[in-house]
Amino acid sequence: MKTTIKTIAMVAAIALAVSACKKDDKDDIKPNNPAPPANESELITTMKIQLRDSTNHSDAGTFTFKDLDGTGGNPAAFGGTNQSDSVITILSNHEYKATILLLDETKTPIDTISNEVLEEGADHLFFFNGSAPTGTPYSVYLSGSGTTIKYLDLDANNRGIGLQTLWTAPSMQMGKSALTIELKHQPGTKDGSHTNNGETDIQVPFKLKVN
Amino acid sequence: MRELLCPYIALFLIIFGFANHPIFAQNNSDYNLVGQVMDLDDGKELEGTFVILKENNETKITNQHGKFNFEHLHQGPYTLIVRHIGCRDTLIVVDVKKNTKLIIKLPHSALELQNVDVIDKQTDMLKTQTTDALESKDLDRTRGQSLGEALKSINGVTTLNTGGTISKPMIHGMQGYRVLILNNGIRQEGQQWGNEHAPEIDPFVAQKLSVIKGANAVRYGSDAMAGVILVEPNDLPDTASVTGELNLIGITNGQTGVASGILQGNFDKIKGLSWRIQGTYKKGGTIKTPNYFLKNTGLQEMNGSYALAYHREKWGIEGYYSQFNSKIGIFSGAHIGNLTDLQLAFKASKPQDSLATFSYDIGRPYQDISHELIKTKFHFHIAPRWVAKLQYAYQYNMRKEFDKHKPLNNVLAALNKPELDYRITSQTIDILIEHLNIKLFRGQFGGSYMNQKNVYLGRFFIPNYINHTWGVFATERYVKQHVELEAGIRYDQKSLSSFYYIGKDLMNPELQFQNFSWNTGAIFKPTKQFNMFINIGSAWRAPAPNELYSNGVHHGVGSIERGDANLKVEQVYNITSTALYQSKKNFIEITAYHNQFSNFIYMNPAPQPELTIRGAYPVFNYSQANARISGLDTKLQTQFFNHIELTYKAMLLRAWNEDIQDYLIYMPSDRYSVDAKIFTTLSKKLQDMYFQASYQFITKQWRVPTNTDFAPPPNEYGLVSAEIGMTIYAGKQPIQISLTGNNLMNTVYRDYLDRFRYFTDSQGRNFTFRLKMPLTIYDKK
Repeated sequence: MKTTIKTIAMVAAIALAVSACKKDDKDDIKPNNPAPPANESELITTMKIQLRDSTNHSDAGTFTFKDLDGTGGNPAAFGGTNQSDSVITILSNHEYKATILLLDETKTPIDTISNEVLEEGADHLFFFNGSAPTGTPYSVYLSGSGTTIKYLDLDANNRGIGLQTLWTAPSMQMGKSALTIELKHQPGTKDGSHTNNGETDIQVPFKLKVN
Repeated sequence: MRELLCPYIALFLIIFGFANHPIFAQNNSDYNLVGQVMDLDDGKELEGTFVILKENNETKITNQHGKFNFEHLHQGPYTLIVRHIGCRDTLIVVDVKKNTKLIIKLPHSALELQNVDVIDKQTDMLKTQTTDALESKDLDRTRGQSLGEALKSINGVTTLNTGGTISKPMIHGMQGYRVLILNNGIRQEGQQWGNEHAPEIDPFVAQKLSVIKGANAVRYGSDAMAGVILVEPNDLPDTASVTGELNLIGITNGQTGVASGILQGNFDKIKGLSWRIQGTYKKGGTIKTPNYFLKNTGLQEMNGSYALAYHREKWGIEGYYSQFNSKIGIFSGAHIGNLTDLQLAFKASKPQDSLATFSYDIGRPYQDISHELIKTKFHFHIAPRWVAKLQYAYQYNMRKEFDKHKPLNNVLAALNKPELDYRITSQTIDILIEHLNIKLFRGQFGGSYMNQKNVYLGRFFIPNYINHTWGVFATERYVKQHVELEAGIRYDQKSLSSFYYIGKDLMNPELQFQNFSWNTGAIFKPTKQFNMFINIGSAWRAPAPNELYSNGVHHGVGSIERGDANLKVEQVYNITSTALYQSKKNFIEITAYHNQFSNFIYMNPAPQPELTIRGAYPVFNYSQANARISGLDTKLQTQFFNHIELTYKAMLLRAWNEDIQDYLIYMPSDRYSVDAKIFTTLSKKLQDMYFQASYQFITKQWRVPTNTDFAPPPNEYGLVSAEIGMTIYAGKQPIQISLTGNNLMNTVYRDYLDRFRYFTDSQGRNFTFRLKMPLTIYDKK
């Protein structure tokens, strides 16, 4: 009988140990009450590019791409002041200061995600047409529109981020050319390179027309 | 090996142990063991029974008088496996001290003869379907691998992989909802819908893994379309003892270590009370392809289970609890943003996040999965030859998936919450009434009910839902010596109530599905060696919540998936036929099958990618079409010189979407393997030595649908592997060890069915060391 009791005790002890391994945090959630969409998770719904003509100190418009319900759901759309579809229009031989704003418009008040990008600037880099920026400070030349984009902001490692840039184009172009603005998340690997480095957070295919 | 049907229901009574006078002057290793297998009821001598002497790996078939004999044995205990056609194996331990004679009597019905309840030892009778099983030595060779990888050694089974650590078993090219997994008799209810969701089961629970191929709806549930995977532990011991087993495994690639142990016993003082506890721990680090390490491919697993059973003469009750916990790192270079990223990744010669060094760290992205199962089972004998079983199970599955990056917002990031979080709770009740050999008929009747709730906490991908499913079935079988016929029918009804938001509006669609399924089968046994199996059946499944309502980005695959709320029931008609030839030295098994689907649910690519703020994503819409999947599995095994065994396997499969006249995506390509094994026993201390070399050739899958995949299918490849193993006796204690080398040539390859093929090569050379130690702590005998 002693062996039996011992065995029972041992089995019980080990059984207890096994079941105590990991306690699940079973939140008492009823299926008929799902979490409203995007309550806690982070969403970038909107990209805004504010252009200020620093040559004649005037506002040159805000260009927007919006996907209010996030990826999937309703389709995304372009739209903004002075904007027809995806086209951003600038004048040749003017200097424009461009500020990129990233917003989560599902939150009240609206959450400005670009502030977080700035804070984590060392892990983030904006690319224009996927060209790796060169020089110090960073700059890129977009061959299609002949536009030069200089990065105005710096991260902790003195690399550009691209939330603020300076755009100049020397001459008028007949057609529109591509201006794909891309934000890459490159934690630990940010070195100005684009290809096969990091994950795309944002990629919006604007078009640029130089008048 | 497959199980045929047994007129001699489970087993056993041994009238044993007659001593013979030593005939000759004997040394320590020259004893004979002779025996006879008889029918207990009528004393008929049973010809054609397999008697396997486990220690020597020697098989005898009883002659026309039911007799067998083994010669040149050492002194000591031997295990005999008595395998009468279709019966579950009977194990008999014989202590050979002198020439020994055994009489083994197999009763027609255990009930009438036994005062110990042996109902659990009875063979499951419905096996006109083609069944393949992995057990004992074959199962040992897969230890340390995940369930999916282990099942791969069964012909006709492949896996859909997400790297080396996540494998979903596929039977005849079908996976997910179309494959039913029964874990210790309970249908596994986890998050089957995702291609990167592997079954949440510890393979060490099983002492036998079986795959029943082809539709098997009647007995197991209407949705068993492709087949059923049975994960079966051994029966609990029924004699007073405490025994166990210890497995230790080391794997070089990933520097993975696995330890698993079982301890089980039966009480001497309390008759009929038995118990088992089991636990597994596994930890692995970054996996190496031939040329580089893959960042964040480690895993951790901690599993445990225990069982307690109490058996009386007329009834028995059993409780079982198991828990599975795993944390699996997902190769970070495969977690990409959009289509452009994916195309760049595919073109790159080396993936991003390939590393030069090894690490055990698991960072984002990773999956954190827990699965809990509680089961109770009760059975009693209603009348002679009639048994009723009642089973209840509760399952809780929690799946948390963490994206590669924390939110940018520091407050959110500090919470470190999973981006995807699903919890699914299922309760099942099964009732089964079984009758044994009434005249020439045997049958089963039963019903089942399931209630399931799913909730999500993070990002929306599939909705919350509640579903109720119930079904009833009846099946009867007619058993004659040379032919067995079977027919069954089942009716199921399923209701599905889903909850999700469109904009700010809560939607709550209610759907109901019902249908019949049936099956009919036959076994022809013209001779002892040759058997033919044929099974024709139907199965159906209701569209699943993700197929109906998913709407969003499926991360890691970089695509938008859209459900279709109007999907109808998917139905399949299946015919599977097997020819089996089995003699002492040869084994031939050929299985041919055809599945004809109506309303086959698949992902249909949309012509235009969708523009989102993260760039362009390809869109897949769930659609339905008529489709067919057919193929051939063959296995040939031949032994010569008593020490050499050759095995050839081939698996061919064709899958076609009849509506769009194109191939089905993600189907296994044709594959072939050859395996040579040399085995011998050197001495009493060094037994079952073997050396085995294998070559596996996987052809290129060129049968792929046009414009659907992100990248063209990878090329064909061949892998060389080898294994050496033996059983060492340290006194009476056997220790079984083996060393396996996989991908010995360090071949650089990518597999079509691995979703990481877009990003990286597959695993390089890998060595696995296995040690298994059966333990006998106390045995009354």
